[in-house]
Amino acid sequence: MSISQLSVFVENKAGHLADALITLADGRVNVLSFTIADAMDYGILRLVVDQVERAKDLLGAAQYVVVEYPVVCAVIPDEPGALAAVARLVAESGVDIEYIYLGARDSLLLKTEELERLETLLVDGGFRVLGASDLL
Amino acid sequence: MNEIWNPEYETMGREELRELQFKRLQMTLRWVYENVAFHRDRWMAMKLKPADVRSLDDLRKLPFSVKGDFKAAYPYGLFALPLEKVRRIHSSSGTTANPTVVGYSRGDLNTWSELCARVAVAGGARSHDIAQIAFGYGLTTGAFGMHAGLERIGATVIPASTGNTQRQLHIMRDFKTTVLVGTPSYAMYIAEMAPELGYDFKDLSLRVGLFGSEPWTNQLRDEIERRTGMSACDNYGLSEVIGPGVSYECWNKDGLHVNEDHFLAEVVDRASGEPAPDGEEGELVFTSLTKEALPVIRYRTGDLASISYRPCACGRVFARHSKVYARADDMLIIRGINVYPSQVEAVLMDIEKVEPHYQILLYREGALDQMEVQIEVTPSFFPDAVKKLMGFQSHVEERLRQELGIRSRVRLVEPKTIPRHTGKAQRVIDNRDITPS
Repeated sequence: MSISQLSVFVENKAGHLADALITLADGRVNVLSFTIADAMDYGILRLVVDQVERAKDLLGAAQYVVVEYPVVCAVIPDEPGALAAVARLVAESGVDIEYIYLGARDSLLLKTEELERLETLLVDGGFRVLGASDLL
Repeated sequence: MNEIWNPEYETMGREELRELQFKRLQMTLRWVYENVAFHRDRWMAMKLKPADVRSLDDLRKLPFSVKGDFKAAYPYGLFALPLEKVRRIHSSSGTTANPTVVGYSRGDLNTWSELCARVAVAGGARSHDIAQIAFGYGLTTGAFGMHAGLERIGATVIPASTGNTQRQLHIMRDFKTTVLVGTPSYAMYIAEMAPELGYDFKDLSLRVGLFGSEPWTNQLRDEIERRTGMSACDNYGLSEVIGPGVSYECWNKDGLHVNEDHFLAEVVDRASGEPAPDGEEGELVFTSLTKEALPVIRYRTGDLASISYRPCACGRVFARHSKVYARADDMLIIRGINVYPSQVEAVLMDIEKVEPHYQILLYREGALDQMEVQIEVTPSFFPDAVKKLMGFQSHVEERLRQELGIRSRVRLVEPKTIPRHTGKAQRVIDNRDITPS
């Protein structure tokens, strides 16, 4: 039960991030979670949105390179130690996490090649894992 | 596939050809001596007369001419005919300094179409073909030269001119174009745009591409052929010499045959001006043998190539020069190392997933030259990890370092952000301020 994340290549130039987000805004796509991995000249914009196909079409038409990846979306309580608990659980399991970031509504997004294993791990650890329908 | 437009000349014996060349050279030198003060004055100052050239090798006694001579003689100073005998004027697109102006007599126009007919047939065009000319119709020579050559062989010519790629593709499909003529970079651009504009090359009838007027690599040729399904041939020319029609590839695509019955080709060392050793690269120098309005004598082209007199499997006797990868003018000197944009292109095209669009940016950091190579990220290469993107960048940087001998920086840019050109591609932006302080 993973959700879709869109990764977008954006150059590190004034206005480029705004242009990409305005493209989505003009198409009435809501951004639910958002982070940027930054290298020197560019960044990878990572987004969870309410309308994945529509977002891909809009960005594609505007000549962005967009790739869709599955990520695991877990809900963590908004209290001290919650994040540490997830991190410890994952670390002890040996599941390889490529990256991790916080999203809207107390959600935590995790990218891994081992989707099922991570999901099982989190559910068994007492965390709620969301699917695409939970985001609507 | 193999067909020769004018076997009488294109396959004539070497000895016979040399006799013809010498006879025509003598006529040209007398013609120039009588009619062009620029050449006469220079030869007189060296105490030379046309009669002193007693063999083809004696041509070396005469001084070179260069592009600057055209500019100094602007507009008509090098013409050997009065204007009432000149039927056509073409000119370079130079906007600031005096452009290079060239003229053609009726005979020259006839020669020119003959030479371009050879180009067309050697590249695979036939009388039943429909040729779409995507060179700009204007002052420059590309469109008019190839237009006349293709009409001469009996092909149906569509003067599409440059630009409006959507319309180019529309014409290609509806008019059933079989031969495309233009710059290789524009052909590549059309190949790239076609799927986006809803065209599939399987539905088009293209089979032959006659491309020229800028340096391009065999890798780019392969890419154009793979994407479009046509056979792409190179041809070479420059307006000072005649325009397209100076030399051309046959189906072997292994060097460009020089129209030796109309042009004498030399390869000289750029620095000394002495003949380059046999088979070695140097600057191409041409002397026209039949031109009336604007003969050129030992014209230094600025283009680098080697010449081979080995027989070609196509049956043509004409010598072949290597593909012109670089104009001497295009050579970049970066931290004292000579770099040609075509070397960069060759490396990039060799790496999987790199699109054939790139740009080279030169700038200074302190006193040091820096080279940045910009390439576009594509959906086929966009891993969702900075580590992988950076790994890709360093891989390309390392390949460039091995090939060029200098370090460069690879910058990944968004798709379609590198400017596309419908004419000659401009690959280099030089922001180094090299004005001495």
